[in-house]
Amino acid sequence: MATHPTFTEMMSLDISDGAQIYAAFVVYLDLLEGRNWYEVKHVGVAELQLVCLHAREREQDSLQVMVPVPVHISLSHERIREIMKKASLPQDDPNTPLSVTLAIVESDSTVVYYKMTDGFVIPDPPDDTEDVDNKQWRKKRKKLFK
Amino acid sequence: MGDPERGRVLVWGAGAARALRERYRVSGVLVGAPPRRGRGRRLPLQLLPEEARLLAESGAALLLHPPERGEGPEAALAEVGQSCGPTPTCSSTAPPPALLVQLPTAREGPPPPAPHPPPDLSRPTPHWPHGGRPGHERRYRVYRDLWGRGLHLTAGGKFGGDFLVYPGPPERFHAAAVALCPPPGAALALGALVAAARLGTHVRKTLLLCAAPAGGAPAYTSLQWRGDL
Repeated sequence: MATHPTFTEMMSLDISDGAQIYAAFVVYLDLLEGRNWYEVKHVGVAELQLVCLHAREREQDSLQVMVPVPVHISLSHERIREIMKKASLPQDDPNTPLSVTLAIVESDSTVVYYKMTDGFVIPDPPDDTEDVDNKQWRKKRKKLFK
Repeated sequence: MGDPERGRVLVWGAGAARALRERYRVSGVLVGAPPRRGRGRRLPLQLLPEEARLLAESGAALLLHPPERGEGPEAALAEVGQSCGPTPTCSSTAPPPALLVQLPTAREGPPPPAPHPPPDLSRPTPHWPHGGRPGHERRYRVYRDLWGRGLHLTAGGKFGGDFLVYPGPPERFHAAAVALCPPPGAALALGALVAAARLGTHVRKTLLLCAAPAGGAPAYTSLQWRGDL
């Protein structure tokens, strides 16, 4: 891993927290290799002392900001808001709320992704979700009973 | 302070409980023993300290000290210099040692102006131990702000939060968010946040981190699990 060119580049950024750089590299691999995303770029945000990732799933998608963090750390609400403000990308529409995705990395390299948005986001209406759930469940069941 | 009964705010009148729900978006929780096993709870309605304070400070209701043993509710009313007048009081039976809510339920329309200068509920008293407690003050500022935006709030203990936030009346809507009001600067363990946000997502609720500093602008951050990843 230490010889992976991206990891070497991440190490050469002006970020002092080794655990966070490692987390960023795990998320980089998860998105690019594990989930086959189109593009994942690493960006050092010196102000936050964090390596963030700007990534897009498909070529035509817009960039998403990923903030990799190891699971053992704690964040205050103030720090979360600081990260959201300083790591998010400028939006074309000024009314779009600030939003970044927190990528939380476990010691076994499991990554869980949580979307953080400024303000109060009401969850999706239940009908759509139920529909999707049922479809997924039917697919799963088909697989199981094959 | 050691007496858990102290600082409870109860509403004994059915009309008052209904008016609180319909007119002021304040639900409270019914805490009376059910008449028979398996039946729902009944009056009195217990209010969250934040609900009670909002009603009292806005002049929508009066908080009355409970009468001492052997005294009727009239004594309590006299104690605060308030006559019953044409409006019914919410206490009718011998109440437990808790604050009582008096609400002018007979009147329609906007709440009348407070007859007295609103009580200072930011200081603790024997009957109101919540005043000045950092947790209560913090939650109250958040409650007041979200309530002021037209949302409905109830206690959030069922989902491990401070409040549940509803876009409409709780009897008709599911809660849209579990609100957490952490102390300023408090370190939130990521593992606990993952647990809270994941639970929230599976019951279709956003985890809402709330901060409403005294004299500052309130700030809210929504946390949602990305099911697509």
